[in-house]
Amino acid sequence: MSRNSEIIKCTQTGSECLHVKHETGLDIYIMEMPGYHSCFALFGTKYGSINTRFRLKGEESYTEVPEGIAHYLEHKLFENEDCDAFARYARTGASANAYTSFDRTAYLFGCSENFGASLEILLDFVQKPYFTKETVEKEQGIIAQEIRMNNDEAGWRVFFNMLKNMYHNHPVRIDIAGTEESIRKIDAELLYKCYNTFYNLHNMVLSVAGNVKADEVLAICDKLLRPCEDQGLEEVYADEPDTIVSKYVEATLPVGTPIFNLGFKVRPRSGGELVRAELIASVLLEVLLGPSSKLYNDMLNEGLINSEFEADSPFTGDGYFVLSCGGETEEPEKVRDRILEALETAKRDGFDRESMPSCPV
Amino acid sequence: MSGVKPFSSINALASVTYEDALQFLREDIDLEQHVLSVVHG
Repeated sequence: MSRNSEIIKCTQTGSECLHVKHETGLDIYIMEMPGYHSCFALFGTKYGSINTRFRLKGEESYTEVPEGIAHYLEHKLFENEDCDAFARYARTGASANAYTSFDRTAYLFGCSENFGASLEILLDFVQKPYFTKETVEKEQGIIAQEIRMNNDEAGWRVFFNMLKNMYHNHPVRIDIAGTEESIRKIDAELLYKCYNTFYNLHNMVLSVAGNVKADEVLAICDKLLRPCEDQGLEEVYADEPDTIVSKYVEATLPVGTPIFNLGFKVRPRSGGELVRAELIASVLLEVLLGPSSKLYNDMLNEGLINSEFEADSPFTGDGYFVLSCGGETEEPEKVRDRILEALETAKRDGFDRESMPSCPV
Repeated sequence: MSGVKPFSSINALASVTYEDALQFLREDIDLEQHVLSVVHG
């Protein structure tokens, strides 16, 4: 069969990845790794917690759905009329999981044998939604409990409190699982609406890596993928000002040492500009706040921070861009002031050029 | 097959210069737009 494909090759390592644009619209990436013992596959859609307002080609108005619905859908997709996907994986021996993030939902498995059978399960259940009033209602209590559990987790709370006080309107400020109130509005009809919108193969990716043959993967894809039309999906987000909501937020939970996140709201970007800005920001934070920086070592030696302190990778996506750092400290406001002072000095005077990482290429 | 596309995150990282980093710091990071979030015991 003639395929629309290309090889993506890393010039340094020699690694190759086959990219196939399948006739159903799905992007398939396969990395053959002979000599390895295991194989991994991930089937994902560009659909996460921030995708709450959208319309399809030909629709005049936008559809708004409750917060947390992408995560809810992920929970429900594992279950079909006969049994759940985990029971099927148990027969092939694969270790399976799924996750929902801000901008994607992924279903994945790893295995050391029966790869083909496990891939068939993955492609089958993700393409076969089954939602009823009863099964959807049954999940509400489980997800409400997950939301409460997240709220009790100090690292989760400190991060989302930062986002809530940074973004006025963008849905990134809401817990991926939604709120107990928002998930009460979710029903089978809404789940089907979101499924049919975002689980379109033109909006999805299959990635496979390990001791596997591309021909085997593609033969299974040809057998199980169902052709679908590109629906011209369009998403919008509420207007978001450049300014933050408030500079300080605190909560109380049972932690031994106070923990903190310090974040900066940056202009969001997309496409190649975003990738480039992420790289520059990563290097900048490493140079100014990383373990080799003067500031890090000064604060460590003064006992202001401990080795838990780190600058995070840029947190970015459609309509948001956050640079942050965090860790444990008895004096979070003092750490904040020291970081602000160091950044202000670097802005004014520049910083040590020799501290830039060098990569021989 | 439509061809071979080179890819290297190493090359991309190496292409970030001191001037890029300083320009980003000066033009994109507004120190006023910061949030400190704390969880106390």
